[in-house]
Amino acid sequence: MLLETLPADARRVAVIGVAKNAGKTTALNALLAEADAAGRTVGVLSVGVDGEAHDAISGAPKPPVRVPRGTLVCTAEATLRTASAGVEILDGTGIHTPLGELLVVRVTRPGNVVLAGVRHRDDVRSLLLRLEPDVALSVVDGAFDRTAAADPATTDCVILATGLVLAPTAEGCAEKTASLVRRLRLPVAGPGERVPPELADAAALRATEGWRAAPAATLSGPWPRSEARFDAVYQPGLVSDATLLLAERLLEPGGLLVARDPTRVLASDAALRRFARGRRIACLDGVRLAAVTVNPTRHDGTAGDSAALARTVAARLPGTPVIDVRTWTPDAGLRC
Amino acid sequence: MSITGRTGATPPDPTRVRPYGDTLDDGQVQLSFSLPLPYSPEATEAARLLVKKMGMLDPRVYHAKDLGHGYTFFIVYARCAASVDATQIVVPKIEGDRMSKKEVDALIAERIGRPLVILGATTGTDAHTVGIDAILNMKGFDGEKGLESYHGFETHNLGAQVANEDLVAKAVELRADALLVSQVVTQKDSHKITLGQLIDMLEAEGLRQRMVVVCGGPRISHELALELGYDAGFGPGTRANDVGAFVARQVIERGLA
Repeated sequence: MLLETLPADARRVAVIGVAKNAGKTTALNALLAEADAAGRTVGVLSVGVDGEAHDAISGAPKPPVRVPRGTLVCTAEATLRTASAGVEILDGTGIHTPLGELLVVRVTRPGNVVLAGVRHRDDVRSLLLRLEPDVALSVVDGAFDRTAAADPATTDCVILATGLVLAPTAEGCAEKTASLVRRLRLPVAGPGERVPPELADAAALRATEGWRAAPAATLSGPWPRSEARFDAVYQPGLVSDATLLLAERLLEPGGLLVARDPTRVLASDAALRRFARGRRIACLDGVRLAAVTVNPTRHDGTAGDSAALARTVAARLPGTPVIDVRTWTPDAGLRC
Repeated sequence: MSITGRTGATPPDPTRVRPYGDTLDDGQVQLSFSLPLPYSPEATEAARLLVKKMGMLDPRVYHAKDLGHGYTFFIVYARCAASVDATQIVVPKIEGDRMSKKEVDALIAERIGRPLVILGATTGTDAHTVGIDAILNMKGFDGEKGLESYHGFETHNLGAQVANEDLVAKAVELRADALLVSQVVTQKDSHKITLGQLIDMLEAEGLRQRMVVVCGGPRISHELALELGYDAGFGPGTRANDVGAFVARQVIERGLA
């Protein structure tokens, strides 16, 4: 079911969560089992740590990451000691982490693994390039509520895991999920609004004569005082509350802030609403949201009605498949 | 294994580790907690039953104190029947031999050739700077001088309640090589949200891969830090030379300088 939601051309998928314990690992396992059943070889890595036996904060038991035979796994050397899956080491990556070198291994016997050691986007990109010749689909598992794995320059589409850890009621969860999805679906800049590729690595400004390089590489650092106004501003990096305030000062009324992609837009909802009252925001690249999964388990361990949760979230996200993976994931779904 | 403990001089069994009180493996533990009940025999019995419900054997309320306003504090002794196999435990740790201040400075001078710029802050709503001050400030902690006293570091202590976006802005301005983030007292796990948001912001700004980012505090383990996307997490008892050595080694290993 999850596999069917992926765009036909997607070779890299990010699985991210709205919060810790939102059901990301369960969604990941469902995707791995389904790809296995479809005969597709998958490569998997995590930005952060996933598959550990217990939550690093609460100590509560966590679902293991279950990998089918043939899966390629990229993880730190030290984690292999705890794997119940049988693995053969294919090669090292030369990327050293506090948990040892990141290794690429092939699963020879289905079982559990801990995914750890990958810390930032540049590493993710280089590891995906290593995995891709040997796999039909690469899966990047996010960490906590971090959205970096969804960066469209890194992955082709996103599966978002949400659940009652976000809010104890279905309505509250749907509201907060919809807010995050709105952010992931910020509009893509139109053809006349895009900064030229040769200027896209640093901040740029557009006035009547067209785009030109800005006096600083980013709106996040020191910015020279100026009264000049522009009809568009391009920010390649972080869009925070402070960035929006600076952009507002630089832009003519109705002007456009162009961000690189939605994962860079981390300003508060209140700051974004305020900005939208007189200015617009768009991105060079958009995020393709393939599906949303729901998890009815709350922080306190109690569970709500998962079908009602799926319906409530789906009502707020028209056009997006909303899936309760636990109702259909086969327990013995691993191909042996 | 007997729950009453052993009497002979038998060696401890690491595959079945259990608390020790009077005799090996007797399972004796001490628990302390407060209940929202007024000091009374009923409150004492509630404390005893609660510990029993935790799975403890033979709970005995050793001490009860009236905290006022309908609250009572308890110390309860009990026996724990559970055991763990310590030989199967794997905890991610920060590797590398300890280095002295002099050795860290020498390493930086020899392999990097310039002082590393370190920014430190207690972020989010946390107002407690005791941790970051102990690591960064001249006076240091427990006789170990802070990184401010090192030739190999140019330190900037931004203080308490620093917003993540301000820390990122300062990192851009000062071209930081490393960030130290402290979270001491937080409520409802807000520290994990604050810490995670900083990493997302550094990723968004394209800075994450260019710097060493570590966090510390009483509720932060190395494992949690790695999960959050940090390079390391330092718990209580960490000294400036531990952090300094880690940062210097990471900068060299990753070719960041």
